Amino acid sequence: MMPQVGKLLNSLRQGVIVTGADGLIIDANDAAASILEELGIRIILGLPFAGLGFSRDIETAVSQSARGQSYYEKQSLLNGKKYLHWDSVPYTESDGEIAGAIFVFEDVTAILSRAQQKSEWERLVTAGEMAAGLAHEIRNPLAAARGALQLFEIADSDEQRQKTLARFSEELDRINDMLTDFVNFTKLPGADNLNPLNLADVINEIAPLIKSEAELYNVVLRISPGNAPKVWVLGNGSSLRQVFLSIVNNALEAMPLGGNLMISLGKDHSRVWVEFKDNGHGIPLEHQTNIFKPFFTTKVGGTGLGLAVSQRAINCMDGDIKVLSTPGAGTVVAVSLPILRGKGGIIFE
Amino acid sequence: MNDSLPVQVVIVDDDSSVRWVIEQTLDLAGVGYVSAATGPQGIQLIQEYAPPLAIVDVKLGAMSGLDVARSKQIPPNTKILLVTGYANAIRGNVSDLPVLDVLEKPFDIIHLLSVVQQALAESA
Repeated sequence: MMPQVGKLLNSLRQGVIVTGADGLIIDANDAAASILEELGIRIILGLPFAGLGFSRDIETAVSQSARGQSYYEKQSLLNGKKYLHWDSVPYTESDGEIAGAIFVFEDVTAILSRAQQKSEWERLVTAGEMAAGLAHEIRNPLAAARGALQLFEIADSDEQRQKTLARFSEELDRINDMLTDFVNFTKLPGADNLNPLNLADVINEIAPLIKSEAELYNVVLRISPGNAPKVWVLGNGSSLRQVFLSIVNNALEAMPLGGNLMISLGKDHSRVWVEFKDNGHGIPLEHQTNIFKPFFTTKVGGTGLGLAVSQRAINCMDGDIKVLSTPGAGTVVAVSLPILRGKGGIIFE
Repeated sequence: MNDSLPVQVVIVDDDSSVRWVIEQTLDLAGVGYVSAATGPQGIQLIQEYAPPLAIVDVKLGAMSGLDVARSKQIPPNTKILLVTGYANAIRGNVSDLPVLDVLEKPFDIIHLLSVVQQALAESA
C-alpha cells in the first residue's frame, strides 16, 4: 500500500519520509529527495532514518514517533544552513498497531532569510543608522566639552580654571574612547587580512574565557568539536573570536538563572560551521526581525552593535550567520564559512 | 551647589557630564537645582518641588524626555526645557506640550543661562 501512497505524495511541495517501526526508511517523496539533495543527503530506501544526516532532535522525534509520539510545527537548523519546519507523527496499521513514523518537512530557509538578512539597500540604511547613532551619542561629551571650555573662559579662580580644564580633557578622552570603540566594532576584515585558519582552533583559544564566564552565570558548558576540527577556512582570527564571544555573551545573558550552552562544530562538503545552542529565554517574535539592526537593543547598557557588527564581519569572510530562536525555549546561532580549497580540493591539516 | 538656595530647576539627564555642565551653569547664576538621571526620578522631583523650570534630556532610556513632558503628573506651573542632539526633529512634536524651548547639544552655556533666567523671571 505504501509505495502507491508515495506516488501520490509526489504532488506535495513538503518532503515526506516514512519509516517502519524498526526505523528503516520505507518510502519518501520527490520533494524530500530534492530538499535533501541540496544538503548532500541521499535517501536510500531500506536504510535507517537515523544517520541519514538529520539533526539529533529530528532523529529522536522520528524514532519516538515510531513508538506513538507526535511532534507538530517544529523547527530545526540542518547542517548550519537550512531551516526545516517539520512534523513527525506515528501511523497505524488497520489493526491499530503503530507501524512506524511519518516525517513531513518543509524548507523554510528562503522565507527566514528574507526576513533576517539584509538586502543591499537595507545595508546602506544600516550604515546610515550607525552613523546617526554615533552622532547622537557623541553630542553628550561634546556638550560637556564645550560647556567646560566656556566655564574655563569665565572662571574667576585658578581652582575653577583647573577643574574645568580637567573636565575638558576628560570629555575629549571620552569622545576618543567612543570613536575607538566604534571603529573597533565596525572594522571589517578586508581581503588582505584574511588568513587560513580552522574554527576549532579559534574556539579552543577562547574556551578558557567562555568557561569562566559560563561559571559566573551558572551555565553548564559543552564544547563538542564534531567532525570538523581540521578543516581550513579563510577568515580573520580576531574578528571571529570577537563574534563568537559576542554570541556566547548573548547566550549567557539569556540564561540569568543558569542553563546549558552547547557549542558544536560541523561540516559538510562545502561549508564548516559553529553552532551555539542555549536554553535561555529566547528572542521574542516581535524582535526577531530587528536583531541584526545596529543600535537595536533591549538590554540595559547594551550598545545594540553586537549582532549587527558580527553579521557584517562574517559576511566579509563570505560566511553566514543564522539565528533560530524559540521564545521561552532557547536560541541557536550558527556561523558558517566556506571551506578553503587548495588545488587538490579540500585542504586538511 | 549652594544647598541654601530654593530649588527653582529640576535637571533630568542620564549623562553625568551633561548634568555637570548644566549644574555648573546654574551655580554661576546662583540658581538652586536638584538633579535626576531617569525619567521617573525626574517626575518625582518635579512633583516634589513644583519648580518653574525643568531641564530635561530627550534621550533618557526607557522613559524619554518627551514622555516626561507628556506626563499628567507635571504641575501646571512647571515649564520644560528639552535638551537633545536633534532639536529640529523634536521641535515639530512638542507644540501641545508645556515645552518652553528645545536646546540642541552641544549648547552654548550663555544661551542656556539666558533661557533659564528668562523662564525664572516670567514665573516670578
